[in-house]
Amino acid sequence: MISRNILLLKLSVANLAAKPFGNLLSILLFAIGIAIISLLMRFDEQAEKQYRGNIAGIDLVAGAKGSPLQLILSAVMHADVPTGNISLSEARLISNHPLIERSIPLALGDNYLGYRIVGTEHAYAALYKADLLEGNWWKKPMEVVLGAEVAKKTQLKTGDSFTGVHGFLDIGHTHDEHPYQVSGILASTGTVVDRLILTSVESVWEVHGYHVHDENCDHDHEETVESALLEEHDELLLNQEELDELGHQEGWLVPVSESEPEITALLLFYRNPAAAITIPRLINANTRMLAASPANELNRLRSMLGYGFDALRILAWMIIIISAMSMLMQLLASLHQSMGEIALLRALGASAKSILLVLISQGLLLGFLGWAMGLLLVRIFANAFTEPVMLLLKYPILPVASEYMLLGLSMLSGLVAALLPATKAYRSNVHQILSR
Amino acid sequence: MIMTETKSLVYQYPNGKQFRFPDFILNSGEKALISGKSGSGKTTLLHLLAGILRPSSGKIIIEQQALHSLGESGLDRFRSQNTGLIFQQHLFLKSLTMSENLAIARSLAGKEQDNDWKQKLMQALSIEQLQTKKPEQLSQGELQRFSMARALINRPALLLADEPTSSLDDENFEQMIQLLHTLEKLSPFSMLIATHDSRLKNVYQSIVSL
Repeated sequence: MISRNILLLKLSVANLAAKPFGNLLSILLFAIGIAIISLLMRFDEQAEKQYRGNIAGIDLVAGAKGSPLQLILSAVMHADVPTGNISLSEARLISNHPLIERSIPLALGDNYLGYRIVGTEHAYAALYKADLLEGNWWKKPMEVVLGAEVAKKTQLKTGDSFTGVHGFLDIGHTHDEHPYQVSGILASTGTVVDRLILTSVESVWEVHGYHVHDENCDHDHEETVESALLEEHDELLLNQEELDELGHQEGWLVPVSESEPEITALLLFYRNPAAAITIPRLINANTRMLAASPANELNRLRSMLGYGFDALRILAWMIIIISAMSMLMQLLASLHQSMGEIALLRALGASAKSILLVLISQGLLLGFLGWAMGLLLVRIFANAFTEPVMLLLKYPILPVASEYMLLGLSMLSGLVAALLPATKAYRSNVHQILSR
Repeated sequence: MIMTETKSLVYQYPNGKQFRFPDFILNSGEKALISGKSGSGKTTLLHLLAGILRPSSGKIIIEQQALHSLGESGLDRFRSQNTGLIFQQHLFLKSLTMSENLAIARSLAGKEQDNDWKQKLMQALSIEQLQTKKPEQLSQGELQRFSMARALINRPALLLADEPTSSLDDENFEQMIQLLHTLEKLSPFSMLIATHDSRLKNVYQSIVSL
C-alpha cells in the first residue's frame, strides 16, 4: 500500500523541487547564517577548553616589560613573540620568594620548521601531563624531546639530529654548529606542548653563546638550572615586610651584566592565595620584569574578541532572519501556484489539517536542509584554515552538541516561515478554486 | 432505491447572492443532468451534493446519509469514499505520476490500494500505457480519461461530473459516452452531470433545470 503520508511528503518535496533556484538560494542563505553561528559557538567552546588546558595552573608569568597579553601569548600559548628576555638573577629573586611555591623557567629564541624550541625543565612537561611515548627525557644540553604533533609533522625520530633556526619563523639563520638530538617523543596531550620542542635551558644558552659550563661537561644540566634558581633561597628567605621594604629600596636588584645568562620568562606558582596580591605588585614595581596573570590576560583577550564575535553573531542572526523571510516568500509563491492542487486534494478527501501539515513539512524541510548545508559549509570552511586555528576549530563528521541546538532553531525558523502559507492553504476556498 | 434526495435546498454566498434549488430524487443506477445556463448555480449544486459546500438551509441525503449531520472530517471521508468527482478543469498533482495520482485518491479515502481494479479501469479507458507519465506529458483527452479513472478508483455509488463534455468535439463526445457505458459495466454507479451542453440531453434526462 502506498502510504498517504509518503505521498504527501513526496508532494512537499516535489513542490520545493519545482522552484529549485529560489529555494536553493533561501537554503544557502540560511546555511551561511547557521555556519557562522556554529563556527562562533565552536570557537568559544574550543578556545575556552584550550585556554584552560594551556594555563595548566600557572598563576603568574614574569617576563620582560611590554604588553602583558603578549607575554602570556608568547610564554603560555606560544602564539606570539616574546616581549624580550629577563636576567637569571632577577628570576632567581622571584622564584626564591617565600610566597612562591615553585617556578619553571622558559628560554625561547629558535624554532625548527616553525615549531618552537623551548628551553625549560622536565617539570614543564609534567604541567601538561605529557608522558614519553618513546625514548628518554633530555639529560644533557642539546638533547630534545618532541611534542606529539612536532614528531608527526617533522617525521623526526628518536636519535635523529636537526638544527634550529633563529627566531620563530622557519626561515632565518640556522645554528648549524649546534645540532640538537632527539632523545624522546611525547604522547599527545591536546595542549600547546604537542607543538613544542622541549630541551634544557642550557641548550638555548649554548646555542646563543652563553657557556655557563664547560661544553664537555656531562653532568646533569637540568639540576644545574634548578639549583641556580634556588641557590640563593636561604639568603632570600625573608618575611613579607622585609621583602616589601627591600623592594622599595632603589637599586634593589643587581644590574644585569652583558654576559649574564638570560631566560625569556618564568612561570610562577603561588604558595597561597595571598601571593596573588603581593607578587605581581612586587615584580611590576620593583624589578625590570613584567608580571602578568594568564587567567586575567586571557579573559581580557576573550572580552576584546567578544566585541567582534558579537558583531558577527548579530550579522549571522540577521542572515537567518532574512533567509527565513526568503523562505516565506518562496512558500507563498509556491502556494499561489499550487492552490489548484490543494483544492484537488481537499476535494479528494484530504482534511484541512493534512494540507496544513504538507505546507508545514515544506517549511521544516527547508529549515532542515539549511541546517545540513550549514554544517557542511562550516566543516569545509574550518578545514580551510591553517594550523593552529584549524586544530582549534576541528569538527568531527557528525554534528557536535551545540549544532543539535541549531537544528532546533532551524526547524523553528522553517516552521515560522511556513505558518502564513499553511494558514492560507488551510483557509482556502475549495469551491471557489474548483469553479474557476 | 433512492440514491440521492434533496429537500428545500438553499445556498447563500457571503456576498448575499442566493440560490434556491428545486427538490429532486435520483434513484440508484440512474444517470441524469443538472442543466442550466452559465451562472445558474449548477456547479454550486454539484459542490453541495459533494459536500464541498454546506447548504445554508435544506437537506441532502445520499445513500441514506444526511450530509448536514456529518462533521468536517466525516464529510471529507464520506465524499472520498462514496462520491467520484470529475472537475471542469483536468486537475492533477503535477509532481506525481498518473498512477500515483490514482493511488493518492484511494489513499485519501483511507482505502487499501487495489491494483487489479486500477489496471482494469486503465485498460477500459485505454490509458494503461500512460500510467508512469506525469500530467504535463499528456494530452487533454488523455487527462480526461484519467479524470474518469480517478473518479471511479474508489468504486463510488455516485459520480458527480461538472461540464465534462463542454470542451469536446463531437467525435470525442461520442467516445466519452461510450467510455461511460463501458465503465458502468465494470462497476455500476449513479451519475449527475452539471452541464449546459445540449448534446447530453440526447443521452440523459434532465432532472434539475436551473
